[in-house]
Parts: sequence; C-alpha cells; structure tokens
Amino acid sequence: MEIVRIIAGVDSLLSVQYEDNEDSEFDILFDKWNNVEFLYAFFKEHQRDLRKGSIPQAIEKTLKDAEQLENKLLDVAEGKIKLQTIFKPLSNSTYRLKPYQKSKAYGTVHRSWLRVYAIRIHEDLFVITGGAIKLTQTMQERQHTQEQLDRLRRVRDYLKGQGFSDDDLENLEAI
Amino acid sequence: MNKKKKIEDFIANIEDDNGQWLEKARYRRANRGWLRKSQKIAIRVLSVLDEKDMQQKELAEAMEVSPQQVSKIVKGKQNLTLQTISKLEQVLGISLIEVPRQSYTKKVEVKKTAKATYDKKSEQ
Repeated sequence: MEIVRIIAGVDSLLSVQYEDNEDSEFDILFDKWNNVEFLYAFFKEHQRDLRKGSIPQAIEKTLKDAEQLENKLLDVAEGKIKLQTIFKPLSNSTYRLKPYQKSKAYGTVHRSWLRVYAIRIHEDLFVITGGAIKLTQTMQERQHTQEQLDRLRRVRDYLKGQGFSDDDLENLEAI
Repeated sequence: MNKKKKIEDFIANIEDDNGQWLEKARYRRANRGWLRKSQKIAIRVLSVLDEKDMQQKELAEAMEVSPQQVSKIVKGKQNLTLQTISKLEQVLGISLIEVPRQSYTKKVEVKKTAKATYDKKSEQ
C-alpha cells in the first residue's frame, strides 16, 4: 500500500494506491462510477437492494450523482472550496470531526448512494481509502461495503505504522 | 517526535499520482454534453442485450466490428459516429437517436403573378 497525492501541490487530498494497481483508489472510483458497463453489472447483481426504479434509472442516477460529486472535488482541486465542506463523520452518532476520524463524502444530490471513504489525519488532510455505492442502511450488510470498512481499518493501521497514534489526535488538530 | 514534524515528514514522503484523476475529471467536465449521450446509448444497448440474452461478442460479429469496439461502446465513453449508431440500430432493431421534426412558423407567400406565370407556362 502506498499513499499518493492526487493533485500536485495540494496536500489536503491524498489517496491510497495498491501495489497491483497503476492508479490510485480515488481515480479507480470515478472511473467505475463513469463506466456504464460496470454500473449495469453492479445494479444487476444488487437489484434486490433497489427499492424502486429500474437498472437504467439507477445507472442514470449514479452517473448524475458522480458528476456532481466529482465537480465538487474539482472545486476543491481548484481551491474554490475546502474538503471539510463535503466530508462528514462516518458514524451517524458522531457530531464532531476529529483527527483519524473515518469520514465519508456524500454525493451532493439528495439521497445519493455514492460514498467516498477517507481518514482525516489533520484539519484539512484527508486520505481517501475508497468508495462504494451504498444501497443498504449499514455497511456490514453487503460484502462490497464491508470491504470498504476493512480498508478503512487497514489504512488506519498503516497510518499508525507511519508514526501516527491515537495520542496525536488533539495535537494534530492544533497544527 | 514533534507532531508537526511528523506530519511534515509524512507529507514529504508522498509522491504525486501524476494528476491522473484531475486530468480525467477535467476531461469529463469539458466533454459532458456528448458523454451523457454516449452513456444513454450504452445503457440502452446493454438493456437490449440483456433482454435478448445476447453477448457483446455476438453484437460485435453482427456489426462486423471488433469486440474491443463494442466494449468501448458499452462503457459509455466512446464518441460514437453516426455510422456506428446506425449499425447498432440496425443490428439491435431499435432506435437510438432521432432528430425532432422542426415546426416551421414562418409563412411563405406566393405572389399571384408568379403563380399565373407558372400556370401559363405549364399550360404550354
């Protein structure tokens, strides 16, 4: 596992990149969410989780949500907005962002099912671990979202291996 | 270790991913218009293939194109030519694009003298 900078000169947006992939997880994520063939296969497999609407409708919704989310992230890349404005705590019962907190970016369309997962290690420093199309209430209910939870844990462990610890939390926030 | 230094060291060891996402995202934003149309066509093609229980390979053979080209079409990232769209329509027996008929509101007046001249000539 490697952590890479997604935008040259911008240290706030980092991503995980695995050895067997040429691209970062962040790059792979948006490639998938803009790939109709991938989305068709995904919704065919998870059709039972679609409460209403057909597979074509689900794909169109995903493409639209991905477009809006990507535009927001482009605004971050171009310095128009800060990442903090699009990330929220992963746990619904958590109200305040803290260092090391597992975070998720929401699609900007109401009831978007797109999720970008990240670990925040400083006020404006996020490491993207991956993302998912979340169709169920909890991440544990489906294998592809459970895998994202596992990834979050692995990246968190990796960061600890890089010298960060839970004791750093407040101090990192102060920098 | 000083905690500020820890972050600085962490950042210092991070390499760029060569801006791959940024480049792609900007391309998608700049080409959104035709990409949306390409995506809609891909959705329709995949739905019809599914309904007909037809493989992409069979579609490629019927269209006399490579399987790689069909693979690009169904991803919704291909800037399709009218020729390719027509082939898809013909092979799948569906309509993918239609140009809406324009309603003309401007009236064209035909002068009586001109009509008279025409009538006279046509009688000869």
